[in-house]
Amino acid sequence: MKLLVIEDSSKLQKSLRAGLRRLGYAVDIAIDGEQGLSFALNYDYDVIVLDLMLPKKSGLEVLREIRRSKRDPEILILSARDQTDDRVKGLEQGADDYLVKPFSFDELHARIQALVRRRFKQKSPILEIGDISIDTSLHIAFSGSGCFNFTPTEMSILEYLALNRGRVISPEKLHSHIYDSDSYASKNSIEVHISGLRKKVREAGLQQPIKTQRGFGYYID
Amino acid sequence: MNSIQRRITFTTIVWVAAILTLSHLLVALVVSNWQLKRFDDALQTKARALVTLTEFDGNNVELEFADEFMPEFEAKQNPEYFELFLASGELVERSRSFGDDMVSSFSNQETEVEIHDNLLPDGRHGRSISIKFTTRVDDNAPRELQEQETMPLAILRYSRERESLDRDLLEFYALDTAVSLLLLIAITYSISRSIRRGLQPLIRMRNDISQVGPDSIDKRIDSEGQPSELQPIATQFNLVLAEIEKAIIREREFSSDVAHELRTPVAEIRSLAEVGMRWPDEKDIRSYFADIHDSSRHLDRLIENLLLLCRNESHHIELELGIVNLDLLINNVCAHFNADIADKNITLLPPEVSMPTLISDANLLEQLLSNLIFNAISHSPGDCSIHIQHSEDQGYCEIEITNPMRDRLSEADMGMIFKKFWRKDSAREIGHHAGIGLALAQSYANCMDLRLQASITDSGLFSIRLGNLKIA
Repeated sequence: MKLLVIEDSSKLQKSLRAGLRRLGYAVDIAIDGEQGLSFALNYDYDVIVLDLMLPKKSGLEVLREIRRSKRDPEILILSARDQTDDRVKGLEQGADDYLVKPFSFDELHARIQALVRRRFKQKSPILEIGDISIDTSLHIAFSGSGCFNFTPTEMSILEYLALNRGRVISPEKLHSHIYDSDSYASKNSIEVHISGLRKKVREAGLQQPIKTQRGFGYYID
Repeated sequence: MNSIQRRITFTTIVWVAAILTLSHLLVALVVSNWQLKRFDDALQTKARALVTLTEFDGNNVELEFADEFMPEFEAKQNPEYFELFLASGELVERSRSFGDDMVSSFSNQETEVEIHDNLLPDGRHGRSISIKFTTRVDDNAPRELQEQETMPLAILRYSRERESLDRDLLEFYALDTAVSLLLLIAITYSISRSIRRGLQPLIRMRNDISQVGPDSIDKRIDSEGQPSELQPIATQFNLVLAEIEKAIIREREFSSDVAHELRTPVAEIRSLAEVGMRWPDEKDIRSYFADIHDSSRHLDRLIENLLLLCRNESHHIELELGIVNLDLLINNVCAHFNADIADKNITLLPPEVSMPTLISDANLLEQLLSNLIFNAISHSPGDCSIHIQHSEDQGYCEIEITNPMRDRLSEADMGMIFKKFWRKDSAREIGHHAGIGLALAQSYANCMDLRLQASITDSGLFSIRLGNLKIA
């Protein structure tokens, strides 16, 4: 999943980027409203974490302009403004959730997961693909014989394909949702990770969940 | 219930009832006296008519009375009575209405006329008049008799019933009482109605005021439609409401701003701590400690400044006035910021000429100047000069600090610059400034009765002037 954090506090940028990346998300950071809007309009994000009090362009302006564009990311407002009016205004203008600072990192993560599930119309955090189950809240995959030892990137690829079940996802799109925008990882790395993932499934003696559509991309039935 | 309407109504009705009762009694008294006088006048007229019929013929006193002309003295029903006595008590004549058996009683009298109530021989209540008079000589009497100086004295007593008078008076009293009662009822009704209608604007105002509460402090009383007595109250009340509303909004904004200012560094600390604890192998984990320390210091400064602001605004500060060497004080203040000045390559230029000695509170003045100089350093773009100048006028000194601006401010911003938590850019992160330094400076100036003004100079510099400093 690819997230955009638009936050002017450098300390929050640092901790959120580190924490969310460790949880397997691709995280881009924007330090002001203008940069945030530019990122949001030019990249395809699953969830945007948006502060309201931003330099150059306020969070509400950014929110309005994103909602006017073709992009439809889930947007979570993360603000120190705790008045009911602020929450109502934010939600009315198109935000999907509102979290007041200071916040628990776990709560932020849980809300991001809920937004991801909503985005892909999933009620349960457990995704079933044949004999493999994916727990999207714990970021683990397991079968009857135990947990798979997938790397965070492999896990992200599997999770993204599972959430987009039935749809062919191009390597470019997978790349953009798995890696940060400033990542130096090449497009070929997707192939490498899928190969590694398939090898681990094969070793477990299970049917391969990821199929290849030559010239188009990958999908899960 | 203690109600103005009830109290006014009750008091007015009691007063009106008392006045009506007194009037009623007075009228009754006047009318009864008038009626009695008329009765007595009639009594006396008739008695005097009888007196004129009394003659002295030289030997006897006689009453030339003819029953047929005055049948009331012999009537069987409702008769009237008269008796004629000589002064010696000898009965000369009396009306037939006495009958034959009734014994006349005589009593002498000092005055000419005496009127009093009595009980008539037929048992009715009556009223009698006794007239003492000198008898008249018969016109046909001899000349010597007519020229005689002393004539015999006689007393005529005339009585008649007074029950008709009493009945008339009673009827009048009853009518008067009924009219008074009806009047009282009508007045009571009209008074309560008038008072209720008269107090209607007050009741409306009460209802309007009762609608005003903490959640509807923006409501106002209609002052235009009020009667002239209530108009100033409504106007004044609206003014007070407006002030309260402003204060509440200020309070809410302040609380909200304080909460906001505290939330951001707390969020930073909490987020860094939670991520750091969960992934202690994070590669720049050591920088988290420095960040947490930085945010904690920011929190510390913010809380300290808020406490100072509260203390200054509570007006409970006692000034410790003394002689203050301004040159020394400014040098000390500037020395505190040597590191910041060096970081931003700022040149701090104190006045070229020596500054005067002041009478002021050295501690508060130092804190005030520290805030102003820190503000100038923080909001300067770097690689620039900050000027500190002074001027003197009629025993007072003014200090001016000018600096180039990192973020351009407009003249309109000058009205906001001393507002708590005001910043040109609402984003909170830049420079970790909470926007309370100048508000704090203003509170210090207010404590010391100094004048603090901000402006933009013609050359586009930010200028802040501290005036009204008393020279020693």
